[in-house]
Amino acid sequence: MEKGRIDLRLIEQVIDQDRKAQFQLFELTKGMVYSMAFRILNDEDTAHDVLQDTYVKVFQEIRNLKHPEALISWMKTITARKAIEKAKKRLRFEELSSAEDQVEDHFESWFDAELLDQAIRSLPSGSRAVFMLVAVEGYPHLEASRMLGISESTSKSQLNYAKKLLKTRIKTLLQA
Amino acid sequence: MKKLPDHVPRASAWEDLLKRGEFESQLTDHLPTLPRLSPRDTAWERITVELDRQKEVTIWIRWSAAAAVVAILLFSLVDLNSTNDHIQEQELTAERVPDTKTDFETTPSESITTAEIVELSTEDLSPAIAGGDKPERFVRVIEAPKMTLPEVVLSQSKSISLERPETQMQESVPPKTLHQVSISWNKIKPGLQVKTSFGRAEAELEPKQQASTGDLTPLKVDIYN
Repeated sequence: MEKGRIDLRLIEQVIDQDRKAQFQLFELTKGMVYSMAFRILNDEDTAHDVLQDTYVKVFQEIRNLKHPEALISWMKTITARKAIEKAKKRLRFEELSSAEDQVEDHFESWFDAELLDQAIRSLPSGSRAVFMLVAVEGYPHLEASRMLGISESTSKSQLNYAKKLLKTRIKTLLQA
Repeated sequence: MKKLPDHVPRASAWEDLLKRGEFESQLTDHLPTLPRLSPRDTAWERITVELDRQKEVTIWIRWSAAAAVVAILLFSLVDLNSTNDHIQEQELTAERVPDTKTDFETTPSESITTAEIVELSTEDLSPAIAGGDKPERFVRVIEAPKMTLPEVVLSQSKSISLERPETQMQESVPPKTLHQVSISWNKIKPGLQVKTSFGRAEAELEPKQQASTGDLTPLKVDIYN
């Protein structure tokens, strides 16, 4: 886990703009940052842009970080904000009144993490962003809705919609 | 081969298994173990290039800000110097004239003009001020004409001349008339004659000055005892 290997000394070296320490921090956290950006955006090039912007901001503003132990969550927040900023024009929140009826709620299947990952990628952009922020990263609905520029109730309904869609997509993937 | 004893699971085992199979439970189990994706190998190079570019931009911004501050300071200094010169040019001589010399006496015997007062005051100045290194600057004194009231002389004679005041209001112009009445006591043309100007040219109808309005010569009344 990244948090265990990132000690205060490394953070101090990064604050001092030590390029080796910066590279070390990058190596320890690049998977976390890129995975999050890619799952929100579902686009490799844009995810790489977000990765670059995130690390540039981290290295420039890490001296302002008051609690070094919160470095990982701080980096996740930066990544989420950068990704949403990039995807703002592409995020679409589908109307749920008609779409929810088409999704069946019954689920009796076993799946693994890789199948879940594929199913997440197939979600619509809006519900996928809400699912990533709330279900995967653990942000409360209020904060996620503020990040996305939607209401809290929309965030909740989009999360339920994403879960119902995941059931359907996982079933489809299992049958394939 | 010995037969090992069978162990019976708890009665809730099946229910627990069903719970583990629920979608929400599987989701909770698998979300933290989602596969970790890796960026391209060139990602770090792009980041370092961007960091170096940002550093150059930051240095450029700092130098520009410093140059702007220096330029503003220089400009304000130059502006301040020019303003001081301008103020010195506008200095008044009243600053060099002591207030003690400005008490004018207005007695008729010692009527002194302003020019004389200024000359007197500059004579008392110290040489450092009056004839120092700096060029002297004077404000040109405007000599105002001395105003004197006409003397009133009371004559001992008993004759008093009365003059009509010049500020007398003009008498009202009589209305035009086409008739003229003249009265004379001549023996040749006795009686009352009535002339009429009815039908004459307009120029002839201009009002003639009458003795009562046009004659402003002073009347002199002599009183003899």
